Amino acid sequence: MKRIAVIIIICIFSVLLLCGCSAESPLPVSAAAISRTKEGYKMTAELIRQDSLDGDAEPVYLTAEGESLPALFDDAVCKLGGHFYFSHAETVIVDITLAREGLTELAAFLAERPDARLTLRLVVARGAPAEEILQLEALGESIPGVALYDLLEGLTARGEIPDLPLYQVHNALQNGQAVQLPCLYETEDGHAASKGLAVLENGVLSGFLPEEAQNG
Amino acid sequence: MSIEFTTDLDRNIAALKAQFAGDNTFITRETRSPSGLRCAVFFFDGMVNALAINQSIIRPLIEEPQAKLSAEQLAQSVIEINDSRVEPDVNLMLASFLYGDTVILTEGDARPVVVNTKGFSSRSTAEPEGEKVLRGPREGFTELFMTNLSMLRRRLNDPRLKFTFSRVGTRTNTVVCLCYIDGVADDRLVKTVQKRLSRLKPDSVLDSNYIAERIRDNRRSPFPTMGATERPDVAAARLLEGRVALVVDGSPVVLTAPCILQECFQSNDDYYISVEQAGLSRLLRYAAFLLTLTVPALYLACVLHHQELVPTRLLLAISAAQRGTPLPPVSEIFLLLIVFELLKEAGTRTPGVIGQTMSIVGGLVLGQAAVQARFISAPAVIIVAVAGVTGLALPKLQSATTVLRFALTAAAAVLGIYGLVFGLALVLLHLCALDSCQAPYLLNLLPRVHAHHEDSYLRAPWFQMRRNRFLAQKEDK
Repeated sequence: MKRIAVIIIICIFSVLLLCGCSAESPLPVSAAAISRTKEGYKMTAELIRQDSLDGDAEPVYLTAEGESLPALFDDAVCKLGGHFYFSHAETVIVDITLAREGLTELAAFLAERPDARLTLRLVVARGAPAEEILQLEALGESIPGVALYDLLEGLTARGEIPDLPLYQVHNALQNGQAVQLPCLYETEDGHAASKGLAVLENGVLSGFLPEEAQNG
Repeated sequence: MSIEFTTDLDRNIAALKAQFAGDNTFITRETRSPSGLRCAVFFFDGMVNALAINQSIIRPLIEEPQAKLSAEQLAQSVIEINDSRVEPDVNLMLASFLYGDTVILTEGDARPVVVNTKGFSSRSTAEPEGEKVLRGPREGFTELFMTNLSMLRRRLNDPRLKFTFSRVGTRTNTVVCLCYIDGVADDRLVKTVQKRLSRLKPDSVLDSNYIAERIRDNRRSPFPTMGATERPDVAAARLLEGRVALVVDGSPVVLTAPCILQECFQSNDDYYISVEQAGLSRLLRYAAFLLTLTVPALYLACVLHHQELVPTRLLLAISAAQRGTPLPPVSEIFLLLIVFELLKEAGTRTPGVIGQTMSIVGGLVLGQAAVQARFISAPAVIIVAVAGVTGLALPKLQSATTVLRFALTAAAAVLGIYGLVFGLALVLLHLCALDSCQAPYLLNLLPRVHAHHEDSYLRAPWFQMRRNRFLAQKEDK
């Protein structure tokens, strides 16, 4: 009996020590830009790297490609050795091409992924590729993806854009309802800003509402 | 001990001297009155009231006009002390004698006279350090048995208050008093405790914990199933609630039974301060119990297994703090928990100012230095400090919270939130299975065993308290 107790204690202790092995900090994804290519899909994910002793975080960008959306995410997972950590992604920027093709599949795919937040926001890049909008320098924030989320949250709080998190977009698209997504563009001084709304009918981009409509 | 007294005084003196040979505190004083009465007075130096012996025993013996007296005559007519008796049972005589009573033998009578002359020094009835109150009585039990009983009797001026004595310990022969209010305490409870006491066969009892650990239910449980207090007002309140108390000679800690979990969340001054303040304090203690058990476990579960539950900015802050530290979060938390327990132990054992200084040096300076040197991450220090400080809010549950904190942290480190929930479920099951002297341990806290609605999670104001008994199984006779 004593021998069994000792073995159990040693096992528990070993498991506790091994817990440290999983403690390596993953690189959380703060935002991603997804665009359509000839071969399929291309995703630029912004990862937050935290390896400075001063506590400063900096963004790093990972590009993945795939013929389908699952293949796209699988590629990203492979490139990071299994540590593609999407749970903290709060914004996904899609380019106009993809929006014109339809966002129903993307919204459904993200909504079904266990590591995607149902509150993440889909936005449409306008006037520039989605990955460029994602990587624009942020004002007062070292991580552009985090700054984009703050910008969208602020606009939502002020009622300037509709409050449509992923699950609502997914529900609306599944029900065939029209959806208005915020648009992001590059300002003259090289920052990202919101301008107008992209209107999706039957999941497909049908046009843009002007900036006045955004405010109203 | 086998002493047989005879009518020969010299032989009796020799027998007692032989029994206590080598004991320099054993004093024999022989007296002879002018009329020829020969007596011998025996006592232990330092344990008796010397003035009482001189004035009320030796002087009357020396001035006694009769030449021959029986033991009864000595006890009834000569000795000028209120508590004097003839004790033919040698074992009882020796027990009293060893406890500070004086023994008198006279020529021609084999029976000794035992006189209560106890006079050893004792501590004052100061407020116990561990059970201080903001407002309320400030008296505490001492090591003196009768003084402790008198403190209870003074508070419970009720003829139904019963003190039943028994002796435990083959070597120490310690007196244990079972106190209860007849008609308020359940007869089954009294009989249960009496039965458990009668079964005890230890060789020594130097403190009430010697008895508590032997007679309590679920002896392996980290939760206390036998109450303990050093305050007479608390003991009296528990007697009024239908509990029984055990006063052990030589111990300032009085045991009470049954002990239920709700009792561990009550503070001594809950009933002396305003109901609002008491209610708030009690809510804080419930929160403290949950926090001290779960905070380190939740931290490890979130950091190791469920990072998606942590807000992004907080996760980044934790990640930044851990950068450059040599230990993984699990080792950090366990190391700090152990260091905290060590500091607590050292602070408790170190006297006065040094103890306080050590706590400050240990807690603040060491923690700050360890974080600055990147030996430990700041969040880990904060988490362990929160768990430790909240644990101090529940002194009666300290052993339980310490053990369970480690266990739940280990479970969460291995299995994440699932481990924590599983561990908490086991704790709840254990609590449900516990009882104390036939009272469910979760009495008053679970809806189905609500015995006292006016004082359950929170206490009602005094003007709304109709029943003071938590058991309330029978009405006053």
